[in-house]
Amino acid sequence: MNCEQTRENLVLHRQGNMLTGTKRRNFLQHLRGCKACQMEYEGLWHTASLLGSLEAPIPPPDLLGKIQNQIREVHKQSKTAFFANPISWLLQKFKIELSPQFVNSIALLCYLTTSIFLVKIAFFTEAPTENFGLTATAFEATRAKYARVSPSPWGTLKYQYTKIDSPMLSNVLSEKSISMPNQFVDIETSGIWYPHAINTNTKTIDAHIPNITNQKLALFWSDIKTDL
Amino acid sequence: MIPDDVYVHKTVNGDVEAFNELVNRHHAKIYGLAYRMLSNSEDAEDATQETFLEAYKSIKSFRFQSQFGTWLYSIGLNTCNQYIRKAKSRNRVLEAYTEETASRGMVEERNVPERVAIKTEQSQVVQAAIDRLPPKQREVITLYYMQHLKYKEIAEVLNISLGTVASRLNKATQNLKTKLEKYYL
Repeated sequence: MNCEQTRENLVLHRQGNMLTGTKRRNFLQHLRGCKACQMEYEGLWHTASLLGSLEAPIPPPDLLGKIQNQIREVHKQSKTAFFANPISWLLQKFKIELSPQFVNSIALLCYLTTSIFLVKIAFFTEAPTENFGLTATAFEATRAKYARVSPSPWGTLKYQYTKIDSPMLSNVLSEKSISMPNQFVDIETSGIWYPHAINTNTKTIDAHIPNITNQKLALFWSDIKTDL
Repeated sequence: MIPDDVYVHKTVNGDVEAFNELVNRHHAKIYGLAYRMLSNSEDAEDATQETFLEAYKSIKSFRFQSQFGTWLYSIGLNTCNQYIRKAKSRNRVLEAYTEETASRGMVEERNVPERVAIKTEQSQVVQAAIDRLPPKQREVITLYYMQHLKYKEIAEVLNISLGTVASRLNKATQNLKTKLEKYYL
């Protein structure tokens, strides 16, 4: 056995009886006679002793508890049904400890309630009413808004100054427009509304305001219907 | 003492506390392995937790052909290797810096006086030498010298032949000898 072969076997010899028979005999024979290999063996022996003398690192005291709690948590999750995972996650967020069976029951109840609600909406809901889904309150609010805004004297006055040249003509036109069946459209489209007609014939105007409002609303809804 | 296999059977049948008994028995060994492989207590702690978590999740795949501890070591080593890979990719950006630090470390090591016999310093030096070994050599060194596993067990853990264990251990020890001889010669 030469030096190279001997050095390859040094560790095997150092680490228990890995060398046997003739190989072991040849190895020991070379080692006894070779100073360099003896030095090498000594170095190896030191290294092995150094490695063997290292103290095992001590785990942090809370590590065991941490691992065990983590394992318990995983076990609990595995017991929770897949559909209960969102609820389990929520409970975990709020640090609420409940048994997996209970969480499953809650999840089942939630899903059941939601399903019933969805089925009711899909199959047992009445057809939409004529007001296209707007509630009566909303409709009333719209009406009130129009009734309040429409008779405002400021708007009409402003309009009159720009459009009317002759008070006579305007009187005739405004009376005509009031007496026409489609007053609201007439008033709006003609662009003629004389303030005297409002001020002098208050009663007439008062009587017509609800009509005008109603017609305006009718037109408003009719527009919406057309758009829809 | 009740054998590990009994607790493994109980765990498979849904007894979580049986597995926690196995954690109690083996956590120090796995932490030791992770610490030697990663040389960082925080990473070692995380790797130990992950090892047991992985073992619990895949306990049904344990075939009782080897010791539970051996099986656990193989999971532990896989976890550690993942950490090493992650750390490598994380540190790639800082490679230049690391090389500089390592070379500075070498200079410092050369200047360390021979009275490095103080236990902590000695263990730091040895750990630093182990850290510089290639991962495969680090594995056999850790399993043989620190975890005191037999060749056959190391072969089972690493899924390699006895001959490969012997040659890897030989190379690793020679490597370490070169790195450490300045401290004891």
